[in-house]
Amino acid sequence: MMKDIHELLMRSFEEKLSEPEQRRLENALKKSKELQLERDEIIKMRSLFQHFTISENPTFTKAVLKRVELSKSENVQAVLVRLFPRIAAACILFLLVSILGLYLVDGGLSMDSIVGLDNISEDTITYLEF
Amino acid sequence: MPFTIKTKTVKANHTTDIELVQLFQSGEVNAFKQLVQRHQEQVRKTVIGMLGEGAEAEDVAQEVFINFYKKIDSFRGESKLSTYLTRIAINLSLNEIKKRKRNQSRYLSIDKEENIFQISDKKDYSVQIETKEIIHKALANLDEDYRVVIVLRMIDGYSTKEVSEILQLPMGTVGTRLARGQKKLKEILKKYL
Repeated sequence: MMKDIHELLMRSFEEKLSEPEQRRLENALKKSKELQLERDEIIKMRSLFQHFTISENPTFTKAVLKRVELSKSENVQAVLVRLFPRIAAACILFLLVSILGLYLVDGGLSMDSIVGLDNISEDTITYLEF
Repeated sequence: MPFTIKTKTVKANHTTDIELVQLFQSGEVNAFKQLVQRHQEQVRKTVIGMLGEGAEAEDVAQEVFINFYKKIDSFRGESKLSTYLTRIAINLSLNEIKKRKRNQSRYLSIDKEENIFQISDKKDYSVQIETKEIIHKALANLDEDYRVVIVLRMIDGYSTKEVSEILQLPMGTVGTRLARGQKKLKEILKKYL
């Protein structure tokens, strides 16, 4: 019974009660000093919260815009970091294919074949000497 | 009165939130600045209500707008922007509370009721600062489930229906949490009522 009245009391702060409910609450309030005290405490508490204020922060907008700018550059970095393994893998693959190609063409991996000296003809060497 | 924000700033132009979002999407960079200016008080109030005043709360409030900035293209205006931002603010605040719990932060590890009002007893504090202190300490002693509902309903002034939309909870659950939260608050604040 008392639990019902407490529920009604709490609900009365949130919504309009139906007429019978309102009458029941009013009757209970007339009869019970304890309930009146409780209602008064809730009113005071709610008023305390209604007067809750926060300090002004004049630099807030500026700080947000600064962080937005920062997050944009972080995004570019993030893209680079994300792409780095793929770029590195592509480079390694290219190197491996080049070395394999060289091996297949020259039949070995001597320093001359790597730098391309093994394909230079005698005439060219003479020309290069002068 | 340095600790009061007088009233919500009403902009001279009457561009709606959704219009500002569309302007931003079409390349008008200043529109985002206007949105921040328009909603910062509400967002800060929610975050400060959840976390208490301090640098961490300011950081989280800024993070709300950065989060919004990143997702602005997906904002279609199905819900009001203030509701959308409040939802982000609540989620980020709850994450921060979890982080604090993990780090055994001072704010939530203060002793319960017996030490809770130590600071407020100092006589040289102005009434306003004292009220804020009382509210912050009382809220810090509430479970997050209750605190969220109390902050949204009693500090931000959302209706029960709006609270249920923001938290995506049934109205009945919001009502129950609100009632239990107020009961608990009343016990904590007894000597001030």
